Amino acid sequence: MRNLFSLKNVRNIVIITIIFGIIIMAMSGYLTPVFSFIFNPVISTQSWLSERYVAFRDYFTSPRDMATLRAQNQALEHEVAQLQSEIVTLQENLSQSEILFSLLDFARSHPEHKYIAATVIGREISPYLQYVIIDKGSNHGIRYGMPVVTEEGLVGRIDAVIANASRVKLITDASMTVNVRLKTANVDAQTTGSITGEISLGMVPQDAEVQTGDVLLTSGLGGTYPPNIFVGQVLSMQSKQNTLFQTGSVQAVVDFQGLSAVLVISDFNVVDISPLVP
Amino acid sequence: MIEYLISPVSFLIAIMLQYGIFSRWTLLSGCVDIVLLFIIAFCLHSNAKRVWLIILFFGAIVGTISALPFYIPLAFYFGVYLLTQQFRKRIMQTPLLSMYLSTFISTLAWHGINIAWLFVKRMPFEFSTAFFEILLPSVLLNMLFSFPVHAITQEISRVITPKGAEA
Repeated sequence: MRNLFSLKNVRNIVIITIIFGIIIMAMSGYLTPVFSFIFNPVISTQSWLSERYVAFRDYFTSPRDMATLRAQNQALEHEVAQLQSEIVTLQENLSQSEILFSLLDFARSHPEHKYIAATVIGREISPYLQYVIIDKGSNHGIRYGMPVVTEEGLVGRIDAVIANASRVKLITDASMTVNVRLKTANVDAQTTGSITGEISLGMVPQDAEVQTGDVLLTSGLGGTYPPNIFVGQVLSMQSKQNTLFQTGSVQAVVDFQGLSAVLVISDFNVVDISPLVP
Repeated sequence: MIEYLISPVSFLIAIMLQYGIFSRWTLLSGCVDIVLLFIIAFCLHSNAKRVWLIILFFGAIVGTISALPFYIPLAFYFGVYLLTQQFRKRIMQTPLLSMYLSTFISTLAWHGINIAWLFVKRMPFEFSTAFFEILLPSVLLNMLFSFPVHAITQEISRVITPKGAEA
């Protein structure tokens, strides 16, 4: 008992009690200002030291990392370029497929004819003439005079043929005349091209009531084109008192500037009526 | 000798570019004529002895492909050859000036021939439309493109024949 309350034991008990008290006070948050006062300079110093060390380390190790990063960047850029190239190829394929599908749809919806699909590979060198060159020729069954269409409507007719290519005279050419029928007004007329590629409407009787937007279809007269192929729509009409016929301008349905693929109607027999013309 | 081999290849490339690409690039309804520019530049820089024969060959190719009658491009390109030879003799120190002058005169002549042919064929057209929508834009484009075509042809000529660098 005497040993228990000896001076040494009492001192230890006091020390333990103080330590527990400090721990309890610290856990309760009463010593936070004290800790802050003590540790803040230490933490600041430690931060400063750490930052300097990291900077120092980066200074010596960064060239190696930069080289690695550059190599990785180059590899990734190469991969991106490759993927972009693939995207462009796929987009081209998709665009081509869309054109071919629409041509196929047209061929299916007009089963009365046989078609030869061809790609447009060039345009006439003279800006006054409206011709295109396609990549199919006599080897593929193409002959002079065959009508050429797209899924949108009439394009023109074959003007010259060699073994593996043909020249197509567009309906926008100044020398091209197409016999058409105005669907709503139910009258026959003619379209004529021009040197700038615009199409005008002529030979419309004065008593015909033609409205803007009326649809023009091939009439089949003259035996040059099959009937009922879409040609365009009436943009405007002009009627003068002292003329026999009305005239007008036509918006073609085919985009002749962006023409990339066409169908040649291979089983249509062009009728040569020139001996009958007086 | 190598010029006789390289020039037809270059000419075919020019034709393919013209038919495939440049004929689709239009300003109003006019377009640049790379084939004509190439022929002018070729005539100004070529040192071959029988340039006229090569030009006739080029004219025959264009005459075959084009919807114009065969003899029109043939005769026209030969005329371009004669014109450029005159410029070459008279202003030989400034080939670029010769190029510009030849381009301007040849383009006007080419469009004049086209219009005359349309007139002969009795195709309906208005002269003002042909002038403002086709001729003027084409002249402008040809003048713009004449410098790069001249530079490229000159470089090819220098590579093929060192003598061509002096032209």
